[in-house]
Amino acid sequence: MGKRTRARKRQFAVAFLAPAMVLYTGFMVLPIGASLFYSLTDWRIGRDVSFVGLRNYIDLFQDEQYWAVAGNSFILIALAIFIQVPLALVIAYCVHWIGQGFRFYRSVMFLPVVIAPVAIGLAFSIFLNGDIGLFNELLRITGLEGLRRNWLADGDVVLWAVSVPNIWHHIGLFIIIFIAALRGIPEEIFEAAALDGASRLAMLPMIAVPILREVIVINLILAATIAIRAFDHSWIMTQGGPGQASSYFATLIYKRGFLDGQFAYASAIAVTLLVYVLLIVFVVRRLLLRGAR
Amino acid sequence: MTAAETLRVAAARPPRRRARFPNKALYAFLSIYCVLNLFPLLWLVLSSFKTNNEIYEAILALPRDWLFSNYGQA
Repeated sequence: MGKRTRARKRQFAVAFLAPAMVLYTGFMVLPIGASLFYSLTDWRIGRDVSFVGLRNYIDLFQDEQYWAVAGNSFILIALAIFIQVPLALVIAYCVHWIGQGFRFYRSVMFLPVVIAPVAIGLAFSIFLNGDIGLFNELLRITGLEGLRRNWLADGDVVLWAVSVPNIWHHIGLFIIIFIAALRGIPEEIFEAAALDGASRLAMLPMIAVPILREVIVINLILAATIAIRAFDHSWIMTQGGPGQASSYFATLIYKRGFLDGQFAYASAIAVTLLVYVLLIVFVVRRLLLRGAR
Repeated sequence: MTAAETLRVAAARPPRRRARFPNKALYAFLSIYCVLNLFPLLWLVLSSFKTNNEIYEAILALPRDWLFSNYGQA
């Protein structure tokens, strides 16, 4: 290949990559850079910005509320990784074998994902209402009177009342990805296993899981990042309360930044969040993709 | 029956089906999950035709009058 053609090819590539690059830097790199910068200042609403070094981070790590919220977020992430994704795989596996009505079940599995989180939050805030809520009514009918709670005002259970709708809302996305991946496995592999006497139940851990390993990793990372950004459901249902009992990282960022006006402090929280996400991605990839390829 | 014949019959028999996924359980499980998925959506649609008071009085009931005006306001 001549020098000129190569140069022209490069120009071509640059021309096509430029729009994506501009958008990416404009909407991803710059805001992250700005958060990093502001997290090192004492910017509050209506005050001059001056540089304070790691002050915000020191405050942050001594802030009890920050750790309470971190605990809530980590519980949600654990739910996403250990319950949401495995459950999605099982449900997708069931839908894969359903035969008749496959398309119907696939659509319904994905349905909640397309509803706005705010609408879901509103619906569940009424379902879980202590006085008129359906959930309490259900417990009364089934004779589990003792389990009735004021789900959205009781600090002991409110985190679960907010997290479970969140998990339920997003699980459809992972189900759909798993169904698509299962469709991609050649039928012959399952047939061969059936000839060897494997039941479908046995094929899930022995065949589907090893083949889908990379998809599982992608879904785990997606689930963890969605969980760590959780905001809508808890904000609509409880505003993160009582206290910080149902606040996640994003809720605290919003409260500190937009309600209290401490933008620098909120930026510092956002930066720690970024670190956690990178850490989770690194650990998940390291543990599950080791020895692959 | 000669030995050869026995072998032929054994070979012709389809492989024994072992504990396959009981299909009914599969349908039941997925259907329950589907109901769980559809219920909040249906409830949202139904409630969109009610007044606020009606929602609080009878959460599950069908709207007394179908208030399409809610959509006019939206």
